Amino acid sequence: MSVIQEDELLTKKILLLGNPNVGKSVIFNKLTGVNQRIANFPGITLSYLSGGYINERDMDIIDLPGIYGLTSSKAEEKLTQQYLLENKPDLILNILDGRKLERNLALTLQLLDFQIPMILILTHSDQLDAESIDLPKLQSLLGIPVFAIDSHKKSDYKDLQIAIRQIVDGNIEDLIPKPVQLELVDDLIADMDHSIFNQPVLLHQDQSFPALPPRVLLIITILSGIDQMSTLPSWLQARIEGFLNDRFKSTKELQSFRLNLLRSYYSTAEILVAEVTTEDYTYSRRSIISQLDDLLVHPTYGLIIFTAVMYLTFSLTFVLTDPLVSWLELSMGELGIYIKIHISSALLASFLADGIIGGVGFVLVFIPQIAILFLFIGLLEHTGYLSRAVFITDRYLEKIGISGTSIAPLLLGFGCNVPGVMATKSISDPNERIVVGLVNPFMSCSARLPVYMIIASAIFPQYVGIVVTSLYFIGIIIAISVMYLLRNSLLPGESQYLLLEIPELQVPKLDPLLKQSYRHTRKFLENAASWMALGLIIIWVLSITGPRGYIGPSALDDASLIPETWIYFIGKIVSPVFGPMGWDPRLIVALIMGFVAKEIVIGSLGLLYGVKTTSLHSVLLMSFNPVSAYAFMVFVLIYTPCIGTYFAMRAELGKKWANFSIIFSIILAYLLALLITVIGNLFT
Amino acid sequence: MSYCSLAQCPRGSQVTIDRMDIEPDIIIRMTELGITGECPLRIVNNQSGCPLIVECRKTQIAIHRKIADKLIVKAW
Repeated sequence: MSVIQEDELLTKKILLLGNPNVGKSVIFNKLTGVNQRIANFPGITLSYLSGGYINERDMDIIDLPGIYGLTSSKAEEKLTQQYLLENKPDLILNILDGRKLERNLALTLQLLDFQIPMILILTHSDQLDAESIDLPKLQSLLGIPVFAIDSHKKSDYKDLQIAIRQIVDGNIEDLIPKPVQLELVDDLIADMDHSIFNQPVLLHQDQSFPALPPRVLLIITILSGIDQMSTLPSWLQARIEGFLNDRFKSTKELQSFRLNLLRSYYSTAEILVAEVTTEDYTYSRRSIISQLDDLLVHPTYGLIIFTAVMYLTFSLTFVLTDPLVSWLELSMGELGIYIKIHISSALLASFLADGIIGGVGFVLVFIPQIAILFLFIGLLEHTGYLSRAVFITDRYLEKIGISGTSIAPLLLGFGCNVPGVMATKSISDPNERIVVGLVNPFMSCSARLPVYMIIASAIFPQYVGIVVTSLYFIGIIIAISVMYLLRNSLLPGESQYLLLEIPELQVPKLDPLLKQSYRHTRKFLENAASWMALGLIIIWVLSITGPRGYIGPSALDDASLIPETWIYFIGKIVSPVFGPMGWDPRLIVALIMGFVAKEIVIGSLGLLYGVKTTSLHSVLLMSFNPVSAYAFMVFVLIYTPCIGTYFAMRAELGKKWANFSIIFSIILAYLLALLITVIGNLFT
Repeated sequence: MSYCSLAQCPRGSQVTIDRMDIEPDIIIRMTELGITGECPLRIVNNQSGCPLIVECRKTQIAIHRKIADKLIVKAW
């Protein structure tokens, strides 16, 4: 499988590579402007950023996930390696944190082995003494151009852009860097050249296989493992594996060699840094930052701050977007009325107003919340706070078999389950990723809040706050219980021990944040929203037709026609199953509609009972008693993810687990609602 | 010079790793992050029950306590 589709390639391919948290994204944003997009690796869940660089020359600049080295064990990092193996970029822009040369250069030395033209970009030059790094000497030692920039300063990019242009337009062969000589590797290569690569003709039998130097193939195999080489021709894999089996008598011996190889990159980096830096090359975190950090990672204060940050993130998301959401709702309603008045065909008018505008309107109403939520999540990420949140929660989450890195997707779920499920891509353990994705819909998303509020205020007017809060807690308890159960049954595994870089706290720049929010919101629209609109159109069709045939759009306004529709018919068929709960068939229909989006439950109740949403209270009082109302709300909390979340799950976890989620959550919701009904009726 | 596990080192102390009695995958991951035997580690944060934070090659790294327990270090 090729990692990037051919049609996605533009003229020249430039790859941004570097350790995580070095400021790659800022440079990517500066080089590409607004001309950027998120692209998925085909068949897998991770994405990369790609954009055209316009400086009288079209180029495809690709921003891959940050890596520490070629041994990387994380899913995102493996993809970067895979990309390097399968696609030969024209140029690598290797981004290094200038303050941490030694750590960053270890990756540079590994990248040199690929023998691809490369430019070294040292970021954070504003925080370093200008004379403390001898750039010409570093350039001469590595044999590649070196630039030191303040990545936020536009003028610092001028020379860099010229150099990029010169390299991609120049004679590439002259610019291929030479690998740094490591004794360990050289000894091995000598053996390898004799045993495998004496038959070079075999290398070119498969045209799709890039002509990587033997040295690279061997180093990558040793560092990453033979599994990472699965895309190579099988004969070559077999030969490399055979060579390694001959050369290393045991796995332990190979592992020991791998470790020594990695260490030799670091020791070479140490020597390089010693040669090119002066005594003034120092950097330490500012004391005020360190003091703030002490608070953020404190076992007690850190947890309080974490709770407050999360509360603010979600409450501000809804407070800030409320006026816009209300305006959009109103505008969509007005647009629907306008269409119904001005289009003479009732069917066409209903299709446009109730189906298309109704469907797309629902999607558009979501957008401000999603955009702001992504902005806040980006803020947590760009400030470096997300790593602190992982640190703080790790000790609690590991008790149920998941690691602190799973906290971000779960928290996102409270806003909207779609980005929550999408964020599971950051979890490296495949089983843990599935578990966290599966329980994400139990994090009660914002769409369910109106359902709780309206039913609770009608049935429990004195206890609305307690009832709604209890539902959130039930969701959390169920998520924790299901995670524990799944980790000890279908998806076993222990939480990965935390080993995580804690990046510097910093004040983020607005521009990259806005661009990131825009990209994610657009992706959300493409992935999930289109399915929501389609679902609503299907419901519209089922609402104006019935077992006796076409009824017409009047069925949407006339309560007496509703029993004739397919949607009511379906509710009627399903309703005996819910007999013990004593729910009206119309409530069942509302639940079915809620599969599209949970807010539709309330909207459809108004339609089904032939009343405005504001008049629902009196109808709900007649339909529910306190026990059946609470059981209904718990059912809404647990049963089936909405269609947007379902498709996000399909993309991130696979079809099997997305389908499992629907079946499992419906059964669980049913059992809990039944339990609440039985126990509740004992006391009433 | 004294020897102890990394988890026992107080905040502010400087150590180097002497022995790692841990799974090879974790050793590889630590090496990726820049923690090699020769590199001095400074303990930035060590609070009961929490992972440790150490500084190595000017980078702060959180290490799970169970890993820190198995890292035998030389304290300066």
